[in-house]
Amino acid sequence: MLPVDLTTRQAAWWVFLHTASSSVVGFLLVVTPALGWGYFLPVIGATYVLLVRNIRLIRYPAPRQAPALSITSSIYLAVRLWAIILSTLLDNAWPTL
Amino acid sequence: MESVDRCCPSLVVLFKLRVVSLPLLGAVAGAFLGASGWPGSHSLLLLVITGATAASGAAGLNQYIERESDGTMGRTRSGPLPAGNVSHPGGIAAVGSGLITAAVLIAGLFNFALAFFLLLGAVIYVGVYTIWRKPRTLLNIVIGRAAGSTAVVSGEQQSGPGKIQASSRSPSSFSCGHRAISGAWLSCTGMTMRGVMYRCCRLT
Repeated sequence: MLPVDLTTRQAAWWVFLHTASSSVVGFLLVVTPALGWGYFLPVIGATYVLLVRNIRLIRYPAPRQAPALSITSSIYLAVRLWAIILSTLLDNAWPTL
Repeated sequence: MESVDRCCPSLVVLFKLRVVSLPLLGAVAGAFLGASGWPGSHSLLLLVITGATAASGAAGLNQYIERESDGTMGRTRSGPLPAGNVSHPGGIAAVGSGLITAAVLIAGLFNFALAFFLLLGAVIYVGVYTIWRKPRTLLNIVIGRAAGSTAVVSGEQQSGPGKIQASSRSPSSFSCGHRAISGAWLSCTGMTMRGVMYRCCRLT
């Protein structure tokens, strides 16, 4: 049980705060030499979809939007993690191709 | 056979196996980053087995501790523990503790740093997140990120940061630290948003 007393719109803005900060940190991974375009291209797409869904939740804070964004956030995280795995593999394999 | 069919969904819920899959994927991604490529099948196997075991154990303890408060929430009311489908709830706590202990001991045989971060993740998730902060503050959902971050760091430890330093493309120590921190953030982003979203659903 969480000690929560928020309106739906306030909760949506909280979610946006997390979305925005996570998006920024995700792109800051640019300093990692092991990650190349194999990471950034899918992550750009996934971030765009997540932000659009989040903005939609803020504009129309309907209950059915919340689980949809929750599922999207899990997919977004999975995309980023798989992109890291594939990008490190591609980065290593590329010079030998 | 029928009892197995009824039992398995309960086990999936009790030990949050679906939720555990994402931190586990985070640990694997951390291992690939730590090795800057394929971390090795033995490393991955050890990481996946011990990571899944420890995370499931911590999730089981979380379910046991929150069984009463879960019974008051619509989303969690029908779970095995709140619904009274488990005859000995204390057994879940015992199994959860046993899973964490086993994972830490097995990991400790091969890699002390991995064992340390597995234990740290369980302590943060159960002690700091579930018991201490969750009933008290809205910001707990942010504090809870620390538990997810240990998954990525443990993966990176398992694949050996030394490999990065030895690489011809080795980044600076700043970059190594940054990668661990960034990985930590991304590993728990989904969980964080999911938690807030569930609150949003509950409030409407």
